[in-house]
Amino acid sequence: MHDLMWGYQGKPLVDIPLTEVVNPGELLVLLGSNGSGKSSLLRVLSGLQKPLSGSVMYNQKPLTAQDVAIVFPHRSFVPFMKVGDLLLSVIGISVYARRKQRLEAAERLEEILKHVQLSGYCDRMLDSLSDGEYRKVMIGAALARGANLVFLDEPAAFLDYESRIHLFELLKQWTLNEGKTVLISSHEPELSLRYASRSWTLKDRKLEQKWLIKA
Amino acid sequence: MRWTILIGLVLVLGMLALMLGTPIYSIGEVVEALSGGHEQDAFYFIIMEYRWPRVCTAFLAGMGLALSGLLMQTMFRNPLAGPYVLGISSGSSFAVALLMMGVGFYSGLGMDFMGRSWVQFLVSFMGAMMVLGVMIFASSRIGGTFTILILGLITGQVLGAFQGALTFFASPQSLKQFSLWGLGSFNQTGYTEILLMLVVCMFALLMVFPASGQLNHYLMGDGFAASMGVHTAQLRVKIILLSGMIVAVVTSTCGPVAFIGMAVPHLIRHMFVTFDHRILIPGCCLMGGALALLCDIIAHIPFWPSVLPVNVLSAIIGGPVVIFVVFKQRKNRIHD
Repeated sequence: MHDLMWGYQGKPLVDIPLTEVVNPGELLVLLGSNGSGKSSLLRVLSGLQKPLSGSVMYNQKPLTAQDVAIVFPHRSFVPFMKVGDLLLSVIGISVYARRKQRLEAAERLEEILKHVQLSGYCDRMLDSLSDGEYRKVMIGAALARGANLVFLDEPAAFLDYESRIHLFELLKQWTLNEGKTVLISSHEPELSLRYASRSWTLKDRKLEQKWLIKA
Repeated sequence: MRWTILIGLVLVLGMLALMLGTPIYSIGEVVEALSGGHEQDAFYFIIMEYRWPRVCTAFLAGMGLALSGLLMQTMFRNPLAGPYVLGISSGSSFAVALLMMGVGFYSGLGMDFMGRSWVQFLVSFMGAMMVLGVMIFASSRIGGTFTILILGLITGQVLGAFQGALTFFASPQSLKQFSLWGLGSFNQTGYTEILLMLVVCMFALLMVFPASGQLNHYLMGDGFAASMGVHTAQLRVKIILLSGMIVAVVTSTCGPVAFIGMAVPHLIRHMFVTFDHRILIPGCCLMGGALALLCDIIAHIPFWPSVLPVNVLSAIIGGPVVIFVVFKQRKNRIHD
């Protein structure tokens, strides 16, 4: 990203433009209190919102929304959508695909669901899931996307302590083994700082950067 | 199996609509008339000149309304959206009111000229398109779907108020004419209007059906859809334009027909237990047509001295569906 400014209606949320380089395989944590601009920074970085100035580049090209798999904290209610349907549409396989292809896909879905501790959830309706389970499904969908950039907005909310640890272990694996770049926002630094390779803290209209030594 | 039931329903209801009425004809007579009978036969004349256009109109109107209802529910991600909420029906209705009661009264032009269907169609289409223009402009400026929803409702109310003011000053004759149009009817149309409705509905269908996958992603939220490569803003404009066109055509030919657009998508969702637009779109088209045909059949119930207005029937049939949805919705979203 280069000379990035962001905010709403022409009013920037930070004083100094941001210029940073993020490498593959990094796990970044974006910290800050409510209203400090975490979510809007995520929106700008993922190409969903236009920056006030500057640009976000990915592999020498301007970044588009399709380069990023992003998980938001809010929940959409879609009647009659199954967990499996969502994941299938994410990996781009039609319900009408050939039988063999569907069987292969079903195996892959089960694998994804196992990663997020939801084995056997394929036929569950999205509406019937708890908020925590729903969040896990969306994280699974982000995994299924296969995008190299994964942004998670408040992923730990709604998750119990055990699930959070599992989530961070999972994210760590993605970054180390698959070279994905993961950026998560959080207002609760404790756990995230234990796993992150770098932290950005939004405070007093400035972004402070800290490198963290990996354990 | 479910598709067979749907298609069968449409065929049976279509046949019944051709047979029933005063007088009642047999299947044989209907088939003979449709396959080109003798022009001097009374049944041929009544079926081909009167009932066949009505059946076509009812099917196309129901299909169009259901399709536009589905599109609007998807766009607003709100199960209570329908052709009414964007104010498009009201725009269309207001323009017709202006024509029938305003212009007719002051210009001294005869009711004869004003009552001509093509004039009415053109004016109503323009009214709908004007509201549509405002909605597109607003959606490009404001963006949020709820704001558009509220704006559409307010526009509808304001236009309704103007319309109310018009009825206050209208002559009794034009007032009656307008009230009849407002009750909705499938039998005011000739083959020109049917062809136009067919073209618009088919065009919308061809534009929308290939975008089913995008519409499915869209349901999961703007951010999700965008990261799946959907241009949400473009998709929204496309939906507004297409559904607006359908509503304009249907309203101008049949009057404002209530509830079909809102109720049918729910019926299909429950019938097929799916969210998938690849199924919902054709399903809604068939079910919408079937429901409109059912309304038409009940409207022309044999041995009844007069014809019941379509709007009354569609509200009686569609209303309970909407109430059911509201209750179900409250149960589902208890923690929303």
